[in-house]
Amino acid sequence: MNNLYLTADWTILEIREIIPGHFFVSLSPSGGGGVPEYSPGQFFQISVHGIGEAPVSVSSSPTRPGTLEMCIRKVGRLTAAIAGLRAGNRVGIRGPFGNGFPLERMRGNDLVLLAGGLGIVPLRSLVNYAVDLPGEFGQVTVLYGAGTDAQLLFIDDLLGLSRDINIQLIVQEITGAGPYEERFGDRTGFVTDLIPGSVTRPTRTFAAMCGPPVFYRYAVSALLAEGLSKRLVYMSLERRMECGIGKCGHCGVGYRYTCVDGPIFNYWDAFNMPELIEMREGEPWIS
Amino acid sequence: MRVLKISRDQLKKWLDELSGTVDLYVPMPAGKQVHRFEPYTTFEELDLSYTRTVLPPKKFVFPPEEVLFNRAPSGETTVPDLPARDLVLFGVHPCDINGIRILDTFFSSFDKPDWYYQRRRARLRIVGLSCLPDEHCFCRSMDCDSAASGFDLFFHDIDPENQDRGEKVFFVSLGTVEGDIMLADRADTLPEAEPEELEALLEYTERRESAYTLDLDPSILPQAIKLHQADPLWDRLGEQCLACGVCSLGCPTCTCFNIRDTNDLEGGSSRVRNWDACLYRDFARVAGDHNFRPHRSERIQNRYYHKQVGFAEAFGKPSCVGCGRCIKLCPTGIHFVEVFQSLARERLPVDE
Repeated sequence: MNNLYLTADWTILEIREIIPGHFFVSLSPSGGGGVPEYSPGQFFQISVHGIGEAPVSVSSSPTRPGTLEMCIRKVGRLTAAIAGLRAGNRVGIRGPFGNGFPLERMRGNDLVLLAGGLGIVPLRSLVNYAVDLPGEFGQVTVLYGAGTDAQLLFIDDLLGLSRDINIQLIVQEITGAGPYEERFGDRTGFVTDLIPGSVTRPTRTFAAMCGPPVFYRYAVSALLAEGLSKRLVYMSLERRMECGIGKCGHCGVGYRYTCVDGPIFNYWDAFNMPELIEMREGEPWIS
Repeated sequence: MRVLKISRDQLKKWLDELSGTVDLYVPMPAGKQVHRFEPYTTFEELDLSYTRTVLPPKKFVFPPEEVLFNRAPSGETTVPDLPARDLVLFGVHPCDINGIRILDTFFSSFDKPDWYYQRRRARLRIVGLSCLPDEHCFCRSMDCDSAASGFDLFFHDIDPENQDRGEKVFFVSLGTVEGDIMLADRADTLPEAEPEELEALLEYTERRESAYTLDLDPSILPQAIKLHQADPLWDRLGEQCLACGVCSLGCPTCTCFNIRDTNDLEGGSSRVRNWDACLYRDFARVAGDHNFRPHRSERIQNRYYHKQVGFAEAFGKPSCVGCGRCIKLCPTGIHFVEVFQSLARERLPVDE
C-alpha cells in the first residue's frame, strides 16, 4: 500500500512574478522520471517543508509534457515562502488529485470557459489542451473577467491563441496596463456581461467555469438563460483540501469530498448540495 | 448460539500472561465516574463494569497527534516506527466496536487508504465486553447495541454488579482466529455454556434491552435534517454552542484532522496531523480569508448533516453509534437525541 502523504522532491525550473503578487511556477521531478499523468482540472499538493502544504491547481496541459505549471497568489505563509524561491530550489509535490474535467464527454462539442480572476489558472490547462488537439473540440470560447486590466493573468498567452479560440475579456476598471484597451476599448463590467450571445449551439456546448465563491450563481444563471443544458454546466470549486484523499474532512460538502469527487462538479451536483456554491440568503435555487 | 465459559480466575491469569507479550490496554477508573483505556497493571485495578471512557478507542488507531514524517536538513525523509508488539484493547463495548468498523470503512475509502491508520489497525486486536446502558446511551436506536463482528474475542459479563465472587463466570465468543491465538490454546479447554446458562445470557440481554431510557427512530434522521435546513432550531443551537469541539473530539467516528509542519532547532522539520473539529471557526476557511461556514449555526448543522445524512449516503450508514459521549461531554447541554426529537416533532401537524 502506498503512503499517499509522502511528498516527492521536485525542482523549480522557472519562477517569475507575472503580475504583482502572482507567481508563475514551472516544475519537474528532481529525480527525473517525468511528470505523472494528469488531466486538466486536477490539482497537486505543493509543500515547502517546515512551512506547510497547500492544494494548487495545474495550469499547464498534459499535451505539453515534461513540466508542470502552476500560478500561485501570495496570500499566506506558504505562498509567501514559494514566492521567495528561485529556479533550482526544491519543493515537495504530491498528486495529482481530484477528478478533472469530463474530457471524453466534452469531445466534439463547443466549449465556453468562464473565468473570474484567479479562476483562469485551471481553465488555462483546458484551453491549451483543446488548442493542442485540433479537431477534437468545436468552437472554444474564453470569457475572462478581472477587477482591473492590471490583474489579468496569462493575457499575452491567451491573446496569442485568438486565431484558434474566441477570447473575450472584461474588467471592472481600466488602469491602462497591458493590451486590454487596444483590444476591447473602454468596455467595463463583469464576466457575466460577456455571456449573452456567446453560446451558438446550446445543446452542444459544455460550460466550464472557475472564479471566486460569489461568481458561480451569476455565471450559472446567465448560461442557463442562453438555453444551455444544465447537464453541460461544470464548475471548478475550491475548498480547503488538505489531504487530497478524502480523509481530513475539510473539503467535505454534503456527502461529497471536493478533493476526490471534485473539484469539478456538475450543475446537478451543486443542485443536490445546496452548500456547494454560494447563494444569498432566501434566494431561490438557480433554474 | 455456542459460547465458551471462562472463570474470573482464568480471565485474570490470561490477562496477566497476555500483558507480557502484547501492549495491553484496559478500562481503568480515572476519577469520579471517569474511565480511560490505560496500560494493564493488575486485574484488581481494571473496571469491568464501566460505562464509557472519556475518549473512544479511536485514539489507538487515529491518535490525537501523529507525526507523518520527519525531514532532516539533508532532505532525507523518515516515517516514525510503531512499537513492534501487537496492541490488545480489552473491554471494548459494542458501540465502540461498531465505531472502529466505521473507521475501517472510512479510512480505506475512495481506493485511497490512509497508510497511517492501516498500519495501526493491523496491529490492533479487539476484545469486546458487554455493558448496561446509562441515561446517555442510544446505541440501540443506531443499531449498534451489539457487535455482529469487528472483535477478535467478546466477553459477556451477565452479572456485572457482582465482580468479586470466586465462582464468577464470563461467557466468551470467538470472533476471529486471532482471538483463538490470543487465548493461547485455552479455547480448546474451555467448557461450552449449558442450555440453562444460555437462557441466563438471554435474560441478561432482555434486561439490557429494557434498561434504555433514550430512544429515537433513526429512519427519520436524514429526512428530519433535509426538510428542516432553514429551521430556527439551528440558530438556537448556534447560540447555545460554544464551538469547543468536544463532541467531535469525543466521538468514536469523527475523523477530521489538520496537517501542519513543525520545525526543530537543527533545521529539520516534521509534518504532523492533529484532530480537528468541524465546529471550529477556521474549519472551512480557505486562502484569501473566505469562510464557507462562518456561523456556528451553519457549522453545527453541517455536523449533524454530515453524520446522519452525508456519511450515510456515501458509506451506507450514519457515522454515529449512539455511545452518548457528545451528550455527556457537551458543556452547554446540547442533546443529540433531543435535537432530533424536536426536528421530528415539527413535522407533525400543529394541533397535535
